[in-house]
Amino acid sequence: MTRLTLCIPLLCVGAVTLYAAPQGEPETVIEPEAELGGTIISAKTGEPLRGARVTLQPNWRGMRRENRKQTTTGLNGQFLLRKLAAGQYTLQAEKTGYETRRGTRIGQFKLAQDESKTKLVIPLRPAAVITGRILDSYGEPLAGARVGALRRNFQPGSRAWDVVQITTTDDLGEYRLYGLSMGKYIVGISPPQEPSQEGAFILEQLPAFYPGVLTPEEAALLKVSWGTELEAIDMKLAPAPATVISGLLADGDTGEALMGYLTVQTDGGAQLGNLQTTEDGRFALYGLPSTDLAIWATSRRSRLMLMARGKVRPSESGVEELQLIVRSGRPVSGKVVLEDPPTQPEQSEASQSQSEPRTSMLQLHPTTGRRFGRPHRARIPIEGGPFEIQDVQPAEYRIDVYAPPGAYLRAIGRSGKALEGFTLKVPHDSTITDLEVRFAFNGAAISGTVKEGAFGLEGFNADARIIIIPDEPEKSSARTSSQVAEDGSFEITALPPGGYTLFAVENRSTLDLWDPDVQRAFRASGEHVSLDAKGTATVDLTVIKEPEEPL
Amino acid sequence: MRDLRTQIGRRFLGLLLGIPSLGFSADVTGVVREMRDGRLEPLPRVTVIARPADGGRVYASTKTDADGAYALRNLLSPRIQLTARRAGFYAHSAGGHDDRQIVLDCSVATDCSGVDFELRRGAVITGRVVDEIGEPLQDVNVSAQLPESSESTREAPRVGSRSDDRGIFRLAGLQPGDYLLTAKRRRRGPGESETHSTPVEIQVGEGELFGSVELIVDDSPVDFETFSVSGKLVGVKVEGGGSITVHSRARRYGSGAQVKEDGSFVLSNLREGEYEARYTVRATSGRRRSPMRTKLNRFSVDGDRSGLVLQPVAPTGIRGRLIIESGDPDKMIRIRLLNKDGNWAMGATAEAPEYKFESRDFEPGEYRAAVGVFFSRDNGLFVKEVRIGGEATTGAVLHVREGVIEDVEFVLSDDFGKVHGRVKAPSNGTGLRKGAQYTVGLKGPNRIRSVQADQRGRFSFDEITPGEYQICAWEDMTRSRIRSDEAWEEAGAAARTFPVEAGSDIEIDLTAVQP
Repeated sequence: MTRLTLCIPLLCVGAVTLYAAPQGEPETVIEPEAELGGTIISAKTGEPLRGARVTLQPNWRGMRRENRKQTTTGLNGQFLLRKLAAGQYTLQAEKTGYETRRGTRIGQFKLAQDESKTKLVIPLRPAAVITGRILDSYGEPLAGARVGALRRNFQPGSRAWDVVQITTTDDLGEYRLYGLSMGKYIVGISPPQEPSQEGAFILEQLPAFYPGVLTPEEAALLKVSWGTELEAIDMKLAPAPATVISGLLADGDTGEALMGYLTVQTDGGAQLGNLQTTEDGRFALYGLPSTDLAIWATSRRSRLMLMARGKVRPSESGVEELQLIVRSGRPVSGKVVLEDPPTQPEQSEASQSQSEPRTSMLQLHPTTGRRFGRPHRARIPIEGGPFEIQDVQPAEYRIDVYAPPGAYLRAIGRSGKALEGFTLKVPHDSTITDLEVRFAFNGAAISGTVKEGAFGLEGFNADARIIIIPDEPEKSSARTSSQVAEDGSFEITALPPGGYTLFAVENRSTLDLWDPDVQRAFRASGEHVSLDAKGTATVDLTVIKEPEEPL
Repeated sequence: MRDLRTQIGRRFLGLLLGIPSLGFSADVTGVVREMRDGRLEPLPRVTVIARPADGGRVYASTKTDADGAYALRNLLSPRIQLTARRAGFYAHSAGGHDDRQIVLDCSVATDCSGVDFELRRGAVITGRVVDEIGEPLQDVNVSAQLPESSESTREAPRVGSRSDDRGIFRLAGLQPGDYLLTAKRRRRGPGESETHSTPVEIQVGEGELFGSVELIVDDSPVDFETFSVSGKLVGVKVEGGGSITVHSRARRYGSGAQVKEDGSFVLSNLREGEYEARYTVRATSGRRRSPMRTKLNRFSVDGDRSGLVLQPVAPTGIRGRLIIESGDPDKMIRIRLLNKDGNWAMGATAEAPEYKFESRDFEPGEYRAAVGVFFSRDNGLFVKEVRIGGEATTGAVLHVREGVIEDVEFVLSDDFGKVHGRVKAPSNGTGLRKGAQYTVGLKGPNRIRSVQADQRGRFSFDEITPGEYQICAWEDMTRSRIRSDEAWEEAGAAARTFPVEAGSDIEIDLTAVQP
C-alpha cells in the first residue's frame, strides 16, 4: 500500500488512514475528495439544532473505530465533513434531549470518489419525558424509590412488559424519566428496600403502577408523542398490609435446610423484592400484598444450582408457613433431525477431517415469571445428531433455536408428537430423553421492493426494514424482521409455509407492528401472502410514515 | 400507625428466623431530633439501624414515631453499632457524641436507653452539566466529595447524581463543608476514555440550597499532551495532610498533589496553560472544621518543568458587615457573590447581632451580591445596596481588585416589589377561553418564575427583588417550557420589559400568547 507523501500536512494523519481502499481493489493513489454535509434540524419544530454531534463511520473491512470522523453542528445547525474517501459509511447524529439510543443511527450510504453530498437535512426527534412525584404512605416525599417506564411487548415468547427507562426519586420524591420515544407507557414504582436483618424482608409500602394499582394490566396507559413532557404523574404509595410469611428453604435431594436467595413477584411479573435467607434457610416476609405471588428461590450445593418456585397468597390473619424445596435440574436430551437436507458438495479429505460439526444455540425461555439466572441453553448439532441440555429446572419453556442456513425450525416434538407453540413442559419427577428438534429445508421465499421512505431525509434513503407477522404468531418459528438493501430490494428465504403479513418501516421508526391497534391502523399498508412449501411470492411495499401521535 | 415490627415483636422475629438465643437480650431506645431554627424538634420517620459492632449486615432496624422516639428490643448481640438516617438529612451527633454513629456495649447494662441522635437537614447543590458551547449533557455522573478528609471514607461518603436530559443534577443531604464537585463522562469519540470537568470547589453552609452551578465538560474529540511540574512551596508552614490544588485560569481542568515535609511537590497531568494554585490544610481530628486555604502565585505550563517556586500571595477578599435596613432576618445570613455570568463565585456567612463577615480567596472581578437561600427561603431579604467605605456602588455591584477590601457593607432590605395584573384574551375580545390555562412568566436577572392566573385572569408575584424584568402570559403552556429561553424568544414583542423598584407595586395587563 503506497502512502502518498504529498499530503496537506494538517490532514496527514487522517488522510493516511483513509487511504485503506476497499479490499480487492488495485493499489492506486487516491486523494480523498468526497464531502458530506448538511443541517440537523428538530423534527418537531424544523429549527436547526446547534451542538449536535455527527459521526461518520466507515463500513468497509479494515477500518476501526478510531477512523470515525466526528464533528459538531454550529449555531446554524450545519456541519461539513471533507476529504472523505469513497466507500460505504454509516451516519449517526445525536444531541442531548433528542432520540433514544437506537434512533441516533440515521442510515447507510455510499460515497463515490469526489462526490459532494452537502445538502442533507437530518431531522432529530425530541425525546419525550415523564415526570412526577412519589409520596410514601404517610404523604411525605419518598426518596430512593425506583421508577421505571415500561412498554408492552406483543411479540410471542417474550415477557409482556419491557422496562425501557429507569430512574430513582431524589430527596424531594421527584423523578424524571427522559429519553423516551413516542409510544404508550406505564409507570411502575418500587419503594426502596427497608434495611432489615438477614432472612427478613420488610415492605412498608406497596410497589405500584400509576395511578396506584398492583399489576401492569390495570395500570394507566400513558401516551406520549415526540417532545411531550408529561408532568404530574404523581403517586402516593399505599401502606403494606400486616401479612407475615415465615418459611424454610430445604434441599429436595438431601432434606437439609440450606441458605439461599429468594425473589418475590406478583403473578403478573412485577418485582417486589429479594432477600437472602439465614444460614439455616429461614426467612420471614412482612408486608407482602394479599394477592397471588410467585416466589423463586435459588441455592447451591457444591457446584450444583438448585432452584424452586412457589406460589403463595398471604392473608392478614396469622402467620403463613411456607416451605420451598430447591432441587437441582435434570438433563433434557434429544436429537436434531434434518428433513430432506440438500446434498452436500464434495469435500476434500483434508477439509473434512478439519471441519468441526457446526452447531447452533438452543435456548429455553421460561414462559412465566422472571428469567432466573442464566437461561438454559446448549449447543446442538445442526447437521443432525444427539444433544443434551444440563440442569433444567421443572417449568414451562418456549424453545428458541437458530436454524441452519437455508432451513427453518419446523417443529419441536416428543415421541413423534409436535409440541404446540414450541413450548416444553419439564416435569418435576421424570427426565426427558425424547426431545426432537426438526429442521426443514423446504421453506418458502418472499422477495420484493420497498418504495421511497417518507422520513423526509433529503439526500439519501434512510434504512428500512421489513416486519414479518405470521398469521398465528404463537405457533410460528419464522423470523420477524428482515433488512432492506440500499436499492430498496429485499429477500426473505427459508420461511415456514403459512400465511404472513408484511410491513415496511424505517429503522428509526418506533411503530410496534405487533401491537394489534397499530396493525389495525396500518392494515392497508401491509401485504398478505400465503405460501406453500417451497413457494415464492413477490411483494411491493411502501414504507409506513411514522404518525404524529402514538396509536 | 401500623408498625409491623412493633406489632409482631422482636422476639417473634427471632423465633421465626431461628436465631438462637444466647441468653442475652438488650433493649435500645432513644429519640431522634432535628435542629431547626436553633431549636431541637422531634423528627419522625427516621430509620434507626443496628449492626454488629464489627461491621456486617444489618441486624435490626426500626423507624421513629411522631415523637421522634424509637425502640429496638431484644437485640441479641452485646456490641452494637447504631446509625440513624432519613433522606435529605445528615447525622450531626449520635448518643451525645459529635459523630455519625455510635457503638454501644449493652453487655454491661441491658437497658441502653436515652441513645439520642441529632440530624440536620442537608444542604443541596444543584446545577447543570454543559459542554464547551453551553449545550446540556445528559447521563453525566456528578459527585461531591469532602476532599482528602482524614476521616475514613466511610464517614464522608461521596454523594452522586446523574445529569438528566436538561443537564440538571441534584446532590442532596450534604453536611456543611467544602466539597469538590466533579463531573465524569464516558467519552464516545475516537478512542474512548473518560472526560472530566474541572473539579469545582463549593462551600455549603448548614441546610443551604446552592443552585446554578455550571460544570463544563470538555467534550471535544481531541487528544492533548500533559506535563509534569515539580518544585517547592516556600513561605508557608507545611503541616501533615497539606496539599496543593491547581486550576487552569478558565477553570476547565485541575490537578492536585501532596506536599512533602520539606515543601517539595510534583504535579502531573497538567495541560498547557495558565494555572492558579492554592495550598490547603485539612482538619486532622474528628471535628469538622473548615480547612485553611492559602492562595499561591500563578504559574504557566508549556512543557515539563522543575524548580517551580510557589509562595503565598496577598489574599484578595472582602471584609465588612450586613446592614439590615428592614425586615426580619435570621440569626445567620449567607451572602452569595455571583460573577458576571450569573454563576456563584464565593460565599460569606454573617451572624447576628453584628452580622460581620469575611471572605477571602477571590478572583479580581465584578460581582453581584445576593442573599443565600436556606430551606428554600431567602430570609425574605434582598441586597439593596453595596457600599464601600460608606459610599454606594453603582448598580449594587462589587468590584474586587487584588488585596482585601475593608469596610464593605451589604444593605439588606425586605422592601420588595410586587407585580400583579390581569391576563386578557387576544384581540378578538371574546374573553378568556374557558378551560384554558393561563400562565404568567416573570423573567428576572437570576431566575424565571411562573404563576397560574385564576379563572378571571388575575395573577400576582410577591417578593420581587428590584431589577429589570420581562413578563409574558401564555395560553396552555407548560411551566417547564416557560422556564426555557426558547419560549421567551418566540414570544418576541408580547414579552414586556420593565423595571421594578424597591417597594413598588406594579400593575400590568397582558395579552396571552396563543399556542
